Amino acid sequence: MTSKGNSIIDRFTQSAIAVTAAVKVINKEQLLSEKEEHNFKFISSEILQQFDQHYIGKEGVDEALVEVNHAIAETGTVVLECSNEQVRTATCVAEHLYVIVKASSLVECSHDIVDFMAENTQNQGGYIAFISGPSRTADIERVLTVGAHGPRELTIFIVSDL
Amino acid sequence: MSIHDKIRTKIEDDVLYKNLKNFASSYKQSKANVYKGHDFETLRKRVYDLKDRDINKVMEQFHRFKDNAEKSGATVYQARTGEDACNYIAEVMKKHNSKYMVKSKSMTSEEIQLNHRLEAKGLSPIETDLGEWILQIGDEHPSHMVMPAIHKTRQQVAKLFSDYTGKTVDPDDIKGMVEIARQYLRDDYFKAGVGMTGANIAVAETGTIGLVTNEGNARLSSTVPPVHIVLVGYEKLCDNFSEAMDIVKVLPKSATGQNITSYVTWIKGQNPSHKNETGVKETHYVFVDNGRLAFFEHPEFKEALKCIRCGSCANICPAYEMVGGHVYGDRYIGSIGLILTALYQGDADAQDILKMCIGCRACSFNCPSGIDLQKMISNLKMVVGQKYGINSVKKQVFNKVIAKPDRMKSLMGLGSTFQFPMTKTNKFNKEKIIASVPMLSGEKDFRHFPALSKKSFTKMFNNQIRPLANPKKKVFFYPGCAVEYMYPEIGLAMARLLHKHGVQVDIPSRSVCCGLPAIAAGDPENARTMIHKNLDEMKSPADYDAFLVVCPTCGGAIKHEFLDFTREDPDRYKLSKQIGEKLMPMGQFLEQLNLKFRVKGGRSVTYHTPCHNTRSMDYSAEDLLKNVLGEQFKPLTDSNVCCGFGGTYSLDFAPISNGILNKKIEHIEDTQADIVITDCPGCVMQINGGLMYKGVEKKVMHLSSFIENELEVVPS
Repeated sequence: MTSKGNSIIDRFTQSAIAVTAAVKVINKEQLLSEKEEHNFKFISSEILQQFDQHYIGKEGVDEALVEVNHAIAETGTVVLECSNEQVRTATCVAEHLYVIVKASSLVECSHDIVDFMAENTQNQGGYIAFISGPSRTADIERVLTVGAHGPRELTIFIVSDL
Repeated sequence: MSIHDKIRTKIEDDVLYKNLKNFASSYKQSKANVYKGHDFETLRKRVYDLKDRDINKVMEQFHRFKDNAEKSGATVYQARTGEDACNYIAEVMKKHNSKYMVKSKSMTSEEIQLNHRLEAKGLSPIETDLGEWILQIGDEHPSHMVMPAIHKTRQQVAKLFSDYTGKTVDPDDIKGMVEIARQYLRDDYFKAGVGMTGANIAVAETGTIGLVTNEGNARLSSTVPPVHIVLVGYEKLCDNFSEAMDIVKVLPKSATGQNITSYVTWIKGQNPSHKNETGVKETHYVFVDNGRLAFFEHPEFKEALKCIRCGSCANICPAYEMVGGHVYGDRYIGSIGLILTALYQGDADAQDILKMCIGCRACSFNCPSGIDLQKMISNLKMVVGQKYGINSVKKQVFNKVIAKPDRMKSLMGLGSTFQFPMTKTNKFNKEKIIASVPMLSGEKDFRHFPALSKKSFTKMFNNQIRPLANPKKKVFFYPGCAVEYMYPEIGLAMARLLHKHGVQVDIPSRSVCCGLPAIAAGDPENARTMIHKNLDEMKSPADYDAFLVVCPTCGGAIKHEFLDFTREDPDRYKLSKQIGEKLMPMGQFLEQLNLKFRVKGGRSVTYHTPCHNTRSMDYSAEDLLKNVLGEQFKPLTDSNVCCGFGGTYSLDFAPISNGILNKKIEHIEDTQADIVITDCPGCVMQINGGLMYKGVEKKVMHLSSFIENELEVVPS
């Protein structure tokens, strides 16, 4: 891996931690063992070649694992095209959301993905989520509290060899 | 309830005071941190430019958006009024037999009073943003655009939740309360037949909306129900995603001091929805006019449509900080709230609240869209002043006294002669003050006023300051009313210092008010009279190296408002422009003279930055003082936050003025400095008056008196 690659991962990690996400830099093999160790009730990932199609209701789900399209270093954001309703719902109601991002799809700032945005909203529908850390609120006395309506925790697997 | 009664109620609310004060100080810090490494001016210029457009451009963006949205099967509806929009939304709900609609936060829905109107039709909109939900349960309105329930304590929320759920709620368990909202509202997302969101951004390029949120409720509201309604104002349109990202870059930073919110959600047209019998979500975009489209054609008011609803104009407003958004604004809150109330609801609704702006200009300098909010408020004040009349006593004073220099002079002379039985000497600093001002009791009595000077500045200057034989430089000094009648020493100290160093000081033959008090009171005719008279008294700018002021408020008026009030008078406009280019505060001129100072005594010093120094004259004396004083300089927290004076504002809105002053005094006491320096006679009057009233023994000095008394020039 080039030194440039390392530094963008570092910058992303720093920003993601600042928004209270957890970041693990792993290789593809380690990703497979992560999958085995966890009990993911919903998986949608090209790398893992698994695309679950069940709907999750209001009861939610403990752990879901979803591969995202991009990650933005400046803000620690993961970018997920989720016009697929099952993916969208799972990422909304999972208690602990895990996401997979290829190191090669990291970008510096949101302006770097404007073409991706335009392409993915070109057709019939489109639903792109920028997710930065867990769901949060500060609406009661401005006390920061995580787990408002969405995931209480967010873990990001950066797959370094992809 | 009158505006003054409302203000009193809020001022007496200790919870509100504490919440807003804490928020104001932590917001300033986090905002400064989050913009580190970015050039705020560049970022906001970008947003300003992309929002700078006329009605043709907006409609072009709208049609592009509409075409794209409709191609994907969505419906686009143009609502002419708020009522029209509400009826449309009600029809969609009825068509789907949906009593319930989950909605995420939308200020536009507050503007059109959507909940109220739907409830009147027997429908049940459910707010899902935690703050909005708290207020819905408590039957209240937001007091802030981004943090709607900022005025509520954890105890009050616990009580509301306890009544709502019928369960015991621990007021100290905020996490537990968030959990209650999570559980109750989770059911609602799945129960509702319709979900509604607003839109922070509407991207014409592909017909996509952007939502900036933290809680995840907008994602759920737009995902779970089979129908999605988007309520959006035309001003949210932009061309493409690059522009959209420019907005996303500043919005969370300016709103809450976050680099980014937890979610930024982009939604285009129709997505799969298994709950809809077609298998596809039914999507409606409701574009609201409600009066806004007309303003795209107005040369000034169109500026208001650049707002991205971050709420930062409230976050840094000293008057908002005293009374909160239930008074400072209406449906929209903060400076933009005062403006949008006038534009959307009409100036009759806005006439009282517009007056609450103290004119410190902090909002104009903080707006991430680069809107000169204070100027718009000032212009609107003049509109309502002309239409509904201004305070009749003020009108008389402006018309019959202040605008007529000779009458002002003789009246002030008379005042100074007759005041002496009523003056006394303040104990610890031996300054002459007015013992008691008749008719100024109760809440207006919170500071001592300086006695009027026995002789006017102009008279003393002409007696004491002799023209120089061979001046190295020449300056023209505009004293302003405070120096002319109350603090001649401030002007004389400066003149003596400059003469000593070979700079000839000339002054106008007659002193005329700069006109700003009349502008602030909403009286443009008298302001124009004063400004024109002033220009006629000024000497030719070609003969001077600089025009100087010791009052930055007068300075700001000369630099900016003189231009506004001479637009139809080419000669006077040209003169204003030439004077403005040479105009500077005294401190800045001293720095340009390159005089080296050293401090004589060992007393510690702090500095209050007058609002109009930095914001109207682009100058602060802080660096000058730091360099000279070194360790003896004690930085003042929130140095550039208003002292609460604002001229007659401090009498019209005494409780707000007093509250702002108290915070200033608190910060001053924290510095433990012996001397407070500022370079505006109005700030001197306010801060010194407050300190004397409270018996706080600190010397308050204008920069010019401080330099004359406490510094000496190092021979070069």
